[in-house]
Amino acid sequence: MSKSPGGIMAVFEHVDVAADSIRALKEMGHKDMTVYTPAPLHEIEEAIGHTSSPVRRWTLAGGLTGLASGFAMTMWMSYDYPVVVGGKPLGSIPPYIVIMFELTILLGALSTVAGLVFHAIRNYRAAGYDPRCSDDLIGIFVPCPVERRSAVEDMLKDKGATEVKVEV
Amino acid sequence: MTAITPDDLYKKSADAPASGLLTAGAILAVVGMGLFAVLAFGEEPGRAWSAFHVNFLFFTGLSMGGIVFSAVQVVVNGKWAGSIIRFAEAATGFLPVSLLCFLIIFLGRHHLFPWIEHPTPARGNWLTVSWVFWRDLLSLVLLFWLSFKFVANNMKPDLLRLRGEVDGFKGSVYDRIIGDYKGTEREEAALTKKVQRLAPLLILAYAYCLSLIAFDLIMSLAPWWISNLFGAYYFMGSLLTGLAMMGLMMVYWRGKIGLESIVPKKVFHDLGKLVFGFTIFWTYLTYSQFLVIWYGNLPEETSFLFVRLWDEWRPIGIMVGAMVFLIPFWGLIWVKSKVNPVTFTTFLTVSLTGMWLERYLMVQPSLTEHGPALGLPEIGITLGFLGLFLIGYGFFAKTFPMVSPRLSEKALAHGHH
Repeated sequence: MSKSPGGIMAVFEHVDVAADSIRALKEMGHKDMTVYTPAPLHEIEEAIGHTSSPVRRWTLAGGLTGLASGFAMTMWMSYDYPVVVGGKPLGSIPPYIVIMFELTILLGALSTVAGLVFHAIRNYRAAGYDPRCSDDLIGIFVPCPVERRSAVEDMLKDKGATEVKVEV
Repeated sequence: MTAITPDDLYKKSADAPASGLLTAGAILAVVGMGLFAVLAFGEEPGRAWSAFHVNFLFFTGLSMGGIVFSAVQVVVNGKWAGSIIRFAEAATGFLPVSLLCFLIIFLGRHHLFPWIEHPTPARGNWLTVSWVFWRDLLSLVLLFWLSFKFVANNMKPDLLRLRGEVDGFKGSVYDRIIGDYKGTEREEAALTKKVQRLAPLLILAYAYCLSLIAFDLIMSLAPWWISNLFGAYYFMGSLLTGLAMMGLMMVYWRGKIGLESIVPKKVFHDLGKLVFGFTIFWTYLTYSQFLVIWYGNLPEETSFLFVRLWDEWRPIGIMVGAMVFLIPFWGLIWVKSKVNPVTFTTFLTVSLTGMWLERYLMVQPSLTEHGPALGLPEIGITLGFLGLFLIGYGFFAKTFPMVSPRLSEKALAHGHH
C-alpha cells in the first residue's frame, strides 16, 4: 500500500493514440509508467514492450521445491518403513518419478497463485487510477518530477489525450 | 519502390521457386535408391531392406503428421497457423511415393518379417502375408485418399483466387480441383462445412490406420511382444516429426519467398511451443509404457526393452532419449531460442534426427543379432528417402500456392491472437 508518487495521469479515447503516446513517452526517457486498459489490447502491449513478470520466479521456485520434496518424501518413506513391494528394490526411482512430477506441477501451480496474489497486493492502490479505465477509456500514469511535468503534459495533450491531470 | 503487399506475396507464392528442392531431391533420390538397389540385390540385402523399412515408416509418419496438423487446425478453429499451414500440407506430395514404397516393402518381405519363416502360433491368422498386405494397403489407400480430398478442398478458394496467375499444365490442374466452385458466399459456406466434416474423419483415420501400420510393420517384427500403446506411440511421434518438418520448411520458404511480413516471429514462438509440447508428450508416452513393463516384469515384455536399453543398443537408446527429449526440452523452453531461426532450426533438426533413430531403434534390434550398424547403407538409403520426400514436396510446391491467401488473411486479421 505504497503512497502514490507524484505524476501525470492522461486519459485517452483511442487505442492508437494511446499506443503512440506510450512510444513517445519512452522516447522522452519515461520508461516507468502504468497503463490502464478496460480490456487486453495488443497494440498497447506491443507499445509497452515485453517485460517478464516477476511471478515466473515463484513458479520456478515452487516447481523445484516440489521436485525435491517429491524425491525426499518417497525415498524417506521407503527407507523409514521398509516394505518390499512386488520384488522391487526399496528405493525404486521409476514409479517415484510420477510422484516427483506431480508434486512439481502442484507446488509450481500453487506458488504461482501465491506469487500472483503477493504482487497484486503490493500494487493494490495503483497510482492515479480512474474508474473510467474499467469502462471505455485508456489511462496512462507517468511518475514524473515537478520540473518536467509541463513538458510531459504538453506532449500528451498534443498527442490527443482527452484529459491530462496532475496527481500528487 | 513501393512496399510489398501481402497480395504480391500470395501471387509470388503461387509460383514458389521449388527447382532447388527438386534438383537436390532428384540427386539424393537417384544416388540413395541406386545404393539401395545395389545392396538389396547384392551382398547385404538384410541391411538394405531394413533401412528401407525404417525410412518408409519415418517419412510416411512425417508426411501424415504434417497433414493431420492442418486437419487439427480446422477442428479446433485455429487461425494463427494460417500463413504457414501449407508448408505442412505440401507433404501430400510424398503420399503417392509412400504408397509405392509400401508395395516395394512386400517385395522384400522375406528379409523383414520373421513371422513368415517362423509363424507365431499365438498370433494365429492375424500375421499372414496376404492378410497383412491387404489390410495395410487398404488402410493406407483410405488414409491417403482422405488426405488428398482434405487438402484439395482446403485449397479450393486459394486456387480460384490465384487462377489468373497460372497457365498451361498448372492452370488445368487448378481447373480440375476448382471444378464448378465459383466462390459465392453460399458455396464458400458449404465448402467450409465440407472441410470441417473431412477434418475429423481424417484425424480418426490417421489414428486408426497408423496404429495398424505400427502394429503390423513394427510390432510384428518381434511377434511375441505386445503393447497396446504402440499405435498411439507411433502416430503421436509422427505428429512431432510432422511439426518439426513444418518448422524447417517454414524457415526455408520464409527466406526463399521473402515472407517476413506474413510469417512474423510470433508464429515461430507458437510453433516452437507446439514442438516443445509434443516433445513432452512423446516422453510421456514412452515413460508410461516403460513404467508398466517395469512394474509387470514379465519376460516377454521386458526383453523388448532390455535389447534396446542395455548392452550393444544402449548408446542408441540414450541418444534417442537425449535427442528427442532432453536437448529439445532445454533448447526450446526459452522464448529467445524459439524465435531465433538459427537455434529454432538447430533444435528441430536434433529432434527429427532423434526421431529417426527412435524408428531405427524400434525396428532394427528385432531384425538382427548384432548391435547397431549405422554406415553407408543406412545413411545412403535415408538420404535417398529424403530425396524422394523432397521431390514429392517440391512437386507440390511447384504446382500449388505455398501460402494460402484466405487462411493468411484470417491469421493476419486476427492479429496476434
